Amino acid sequence: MSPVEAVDGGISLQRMNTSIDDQIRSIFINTLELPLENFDLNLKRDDVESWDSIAHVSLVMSIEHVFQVKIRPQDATQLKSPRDFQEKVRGLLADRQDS
Amino acid sequence: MAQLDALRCSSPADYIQIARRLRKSGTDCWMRLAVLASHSIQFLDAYLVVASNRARFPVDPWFAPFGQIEEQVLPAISEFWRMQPGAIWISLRLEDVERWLPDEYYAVGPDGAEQKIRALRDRLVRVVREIRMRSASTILVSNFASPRLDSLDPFSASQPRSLKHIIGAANRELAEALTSFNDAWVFDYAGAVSARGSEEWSDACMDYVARVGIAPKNMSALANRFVRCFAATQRPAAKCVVVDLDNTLWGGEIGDDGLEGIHLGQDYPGSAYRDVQMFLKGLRSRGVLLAVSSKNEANVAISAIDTHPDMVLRTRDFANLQINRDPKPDNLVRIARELNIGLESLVFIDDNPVERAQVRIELPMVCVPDMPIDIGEWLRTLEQLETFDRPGMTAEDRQRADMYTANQERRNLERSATDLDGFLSSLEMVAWVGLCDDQNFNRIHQLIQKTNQFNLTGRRFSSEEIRSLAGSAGSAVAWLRLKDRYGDQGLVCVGIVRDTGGGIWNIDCLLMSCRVIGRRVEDAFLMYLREIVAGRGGCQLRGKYVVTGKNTLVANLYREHGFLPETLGGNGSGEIGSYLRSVNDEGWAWPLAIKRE
Repeated sequence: MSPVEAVDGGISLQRMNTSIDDQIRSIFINTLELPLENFDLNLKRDDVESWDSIAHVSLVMSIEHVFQVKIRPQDATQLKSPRDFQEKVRGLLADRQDS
Repeated sequence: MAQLDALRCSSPADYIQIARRLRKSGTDCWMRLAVLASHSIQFLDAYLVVASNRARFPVDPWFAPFGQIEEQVLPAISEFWRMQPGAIWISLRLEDVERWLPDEYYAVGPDGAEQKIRALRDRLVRVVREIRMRSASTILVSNFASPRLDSLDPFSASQPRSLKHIIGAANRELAEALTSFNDAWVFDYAGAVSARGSEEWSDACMDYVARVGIAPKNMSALANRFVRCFAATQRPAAKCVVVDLDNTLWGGEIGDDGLEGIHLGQDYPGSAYRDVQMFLKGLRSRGVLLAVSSKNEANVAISAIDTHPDMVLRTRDFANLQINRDPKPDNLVRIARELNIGLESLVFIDDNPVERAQVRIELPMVCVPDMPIDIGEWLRTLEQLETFDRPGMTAEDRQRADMYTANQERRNLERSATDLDGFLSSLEMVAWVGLCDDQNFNRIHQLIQKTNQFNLTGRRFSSEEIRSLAGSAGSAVAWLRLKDRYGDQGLVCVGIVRDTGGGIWNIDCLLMSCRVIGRRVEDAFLMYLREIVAGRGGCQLRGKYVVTGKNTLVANLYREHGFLPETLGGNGSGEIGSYLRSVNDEGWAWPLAIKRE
């Protein structure tokens, strides 16, 4: 077993069967290294030290990857909390279903 | 491997999490990799960590501030120099520094474009020189690509001095320039773009948001490719590939199926096995030694290797052959010892998963790739094996395999054959050939009755039989007379060929006087028999060897002369071995040392 398999605790497999909320939570926790109990949908970007511009772009990348959506640059800068991301994702998925 | 597959679909967040865990398990023996780039390359961090750990050459990336290359390298003191990196990656991209070049090309013209790109190349060479003056770290330099160009201008390839070709020339010049520096290599960034597809190489939104420069979906591939190149500069290359025989170099089992039964040739699956051999031959020319570890009877296997017409590799291409009933790990140890190389430089190729598993368990330092079940997929699998990657090749590498040519006896034979050639030429041999007539009938009859050793069938034809065979259109009685510098040796060879139908002519009698053994006279005589048969419309010669108890000398004669066994036999007295050879195959040759009258 390579070192990679040893540490990958099946995070990716977990992802497959979870809800939108769970996946968003997972993305935030992994990207920002947040303890599970600290996660809150209303968390503010300014309040989290690890949520710098690089992390922000990573969050957007992961959201786009997991939900297969595209977030416009002008919208991306407006997302300041997990809830903002959640609403954005829901909106984009709904748009896709309508079209 | 479900986790690895899942990893491939993982999001950036997953990679970040895995990289974090890998770091937590200790980075002491990770090599520090300093990355200096003209784009926001730090998004590659997690991918580099994961890929390099998987390759067992873990790196701990450090990223210079955005766009800082000379600013980090030229000063006496900088964060870059404090880092003391073990390896350095410089990514100065055309897309970042000369973003509009594809659009401006027609305005600035080829000269202008060349000038701009040469300026970048000069920057890179200067940076490499500076680094090299102060450090021996491995340096990898991305070459130039223009992902937009392929979509923007599909006719760029059609103009000899177009941007596409100027970029190609600049990349070649970059490669040339780096050869002056030790351990400095081009990282084929252009190749990475090409492999993934330039059309969706970058993500416009990501570029606008953060100058990312590469679409997230391509990051894993880019990191993997970089790690592959990096690992090749660090890892000592594979020195010897040990291959199995059955179902590896040919389809089937030589012991059971025989030469005619194994699959090796122009049609599938035989063609796939030939391709595998061609690949191995290519490796050999790159300085990788070849060896065999096979559970077979040595003489059967070696005979197959040397006589099967569709074999690409012959015994002389192998530096070592272990053909026995011993466990394969034992053979590998023996091979490593005899070739004086470490076990860690061996690669073991075998179709049998049980054999592979045994080697993996007992000799974990040997590289044992998994091979596909379908031979049709082997070539691709072999081509993609990273263990053969080599950043550069020296003349010494190219010659290495020849220096290890196996079978020292054969080597000696070749050497003495050169001496033998000289000796035979010095004999000044001249041969006459012809068909039986009244003049030499008696001598022919006498030889048939007397000759024991060099006599393939031992059959004593009677006078009537000889006359009958000599007089018929479907058979011939042939002879060869030899003269050398010491005198006339007289008639020394007799042969009788007979049409058995279907284009096959039997050699019912083939014998030669002991006096002229070892001079290749039999080569000449077989040529003459072939001439007779071909002249009368025959396609194949069938030679038979009958064990008489006195003629073991010629047990392998037909095999040694390019005939293939029809049936194996000739073990006990009276048993017959039967061999075939086409009159049209290319190997027929009159020996040079004998002049024909």
